[in-house]
Amino acid sequence: MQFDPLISIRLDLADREYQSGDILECEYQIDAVESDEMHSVEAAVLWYTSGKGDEDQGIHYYQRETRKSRHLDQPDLRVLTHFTTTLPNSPYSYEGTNLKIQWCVRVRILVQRDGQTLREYIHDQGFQLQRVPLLQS
Amino acid sequence: MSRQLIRILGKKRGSRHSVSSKFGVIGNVAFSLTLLLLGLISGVFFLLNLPSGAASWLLGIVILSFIGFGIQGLVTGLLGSRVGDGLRFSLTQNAHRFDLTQKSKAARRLPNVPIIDTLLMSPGSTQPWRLPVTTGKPIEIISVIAFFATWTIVSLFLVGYSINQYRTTNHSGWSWWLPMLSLLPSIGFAVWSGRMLARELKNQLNIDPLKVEVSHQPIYPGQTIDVAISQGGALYVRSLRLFLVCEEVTSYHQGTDVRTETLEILREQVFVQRRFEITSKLPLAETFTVTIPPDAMHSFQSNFNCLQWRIVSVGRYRDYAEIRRGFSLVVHPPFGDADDLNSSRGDSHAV
Amino acid sequence: MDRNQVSVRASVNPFATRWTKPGQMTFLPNGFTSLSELAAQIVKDTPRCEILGEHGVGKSSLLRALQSRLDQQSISNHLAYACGEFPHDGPSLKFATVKLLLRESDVLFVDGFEQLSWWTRRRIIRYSEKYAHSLIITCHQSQGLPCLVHLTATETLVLKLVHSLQQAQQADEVVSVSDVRELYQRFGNNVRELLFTCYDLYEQRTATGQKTSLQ
Repeated sequence: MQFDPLISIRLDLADREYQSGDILECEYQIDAVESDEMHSVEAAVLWYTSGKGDEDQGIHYYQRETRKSRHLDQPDLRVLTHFTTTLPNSPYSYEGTNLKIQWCVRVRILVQRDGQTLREYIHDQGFQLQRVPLLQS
Repeated sequence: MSRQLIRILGKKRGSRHSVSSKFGVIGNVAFSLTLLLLGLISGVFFLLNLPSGAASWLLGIVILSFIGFGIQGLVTGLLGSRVGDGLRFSLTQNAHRFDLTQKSKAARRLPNVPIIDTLLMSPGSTQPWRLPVTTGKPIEIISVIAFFATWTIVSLFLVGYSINQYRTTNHSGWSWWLPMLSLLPSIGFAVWSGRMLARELKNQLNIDPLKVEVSHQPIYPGQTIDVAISQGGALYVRSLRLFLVCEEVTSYHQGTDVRTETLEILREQVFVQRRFEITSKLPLAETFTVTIPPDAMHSFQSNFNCLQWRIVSVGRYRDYAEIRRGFSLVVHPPFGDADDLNSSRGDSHAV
Repeated sequence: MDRNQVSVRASVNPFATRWTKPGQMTFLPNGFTSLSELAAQIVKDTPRCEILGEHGVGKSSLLRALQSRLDQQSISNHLAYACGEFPHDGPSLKFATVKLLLRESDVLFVDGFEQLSWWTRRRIIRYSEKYAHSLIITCHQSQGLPCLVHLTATETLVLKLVHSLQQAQQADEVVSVSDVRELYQRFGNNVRELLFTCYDLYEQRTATGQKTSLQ
């Protein structure tokens, strides 16, 4: 029996409201998968909309690593990886009625296990960027 | 001193004109209407006596162009005369401020926040910035014109055909009485749509558009701005109300299922005035303040979702239908190195 | 500077578009025929056929479920979207692309077939008939192909759907069984409209914390 890969994401200050211009520090690592099964890892800081309309998405930060692009000393894509980014001025997190804007760190991995096709696994860790509640009219 | 509506030789004296500013609008509309009617009547005769050969193609193209230019002139005359003037003025006055670098810099600084386009922003006469109108009734006006044109041409064609048939065939045949029977309803439709068009013309010519000017652009949550409204014309106003409105606009496109929903999440009345008269000597001119709530979300725009702020006016007039207009505002998120237009206010120019 | 400890899990409406868009929801069989039988029929007969149904009734979800079944049986197949994976993203599917896909795969699924131009649709159908390729399309109105299945939304199915959506997001059962019954009476087969109304209801009730009645 095979477990799905486990993606762990840790923000420097989880469950907090970030401000524009703050430096977001993030670490992630992958478990329950063999090193040679890992094809690539992508990490992104992005916002997305949800609600009644089609989803929009904006990527603020993105990095991708494959086995080839990793340093020869440390080819393992699963190890704890750290990155930082300065958060932008907009858009703010927003909890409306038909429209919500949510920020998150997203890690996406592509894994190829014995004889199988490439499969992707995604995990998000949400955070707030100057969260704005719904206006009361 | 009031100006004559029509004068054979209008003169420009400095920035003043010796004829009323309505002359241009009326003239434009009259010319376009004449073109349209000439095209329609010629079209009917053309269809009844279809010539052969290349001349028929040429004649057909000429008639279609009369109709096309007539409709186009009517639509732009009814909708766009003042917007067109403002836009043209803004383009000439602001051309020197056009700077691509500034625009892209603003987009990077505030992703997904609408940028205030200095090229298209009109300066106001009493406040620094005049807000563009975001709503009108272009589809309705085009529909009215199209409906009127269609039924006029159908009626004229039926009249011509019926007369033709009555003259050439014996009266026992059925070929003439069927079009005769259709005459009444088609003329009825043409007259009804003509009255609708006349009402639109009357609305557009007699009711000057409401102008809204603001002291600051962009605006920030918690900020209080001055708003000046002005309106000319000759009419009795039952009520004029202005609202600060915030809306979530969401679009859903999945195959053939396409829908857009607008949800108002804030509506606050900011101005109301009832039972007053607007005349050429006493136009409406009022100033009041508007405060954006301190916990307001900034304007947001993405491909399928947006959050927009507007000032919406609802005017009820004696002898005219209710008129609603929207004027867009841009609310920016506050941040330390704000470099907004307020720090580089242009000169106020009368439009 | 004070850092407030706020929950990062913003309120999740289980009826938001991201959970209910075509192909996103797990296909729920309606008791017409089982998924296995449909997949077996496709493999055996290599048909050219259509899956009919109203908006939101599960056509895209059924395609994905069938595709997954064929993958398990190692039968080559391809799922193409008439206007790109997200209808607003990509250009319309071209006939040349469809020809290539038909040749390369044993079975070609085309979602949203009606969105293609009349001429492209006719060419695709004629090509697949001429060269006996297997083509399965989804549409609201019949395109003249034999009907594989006509999906309809029964009350039971809709109840299961609403329950599974709320459960999937670990949301409270805000939209109740009686609400769904009332909505089904109103909207019938138009599941899309029903889900949008569930969205509104969920928002209203979680915002006010009260049970509001359907309007």
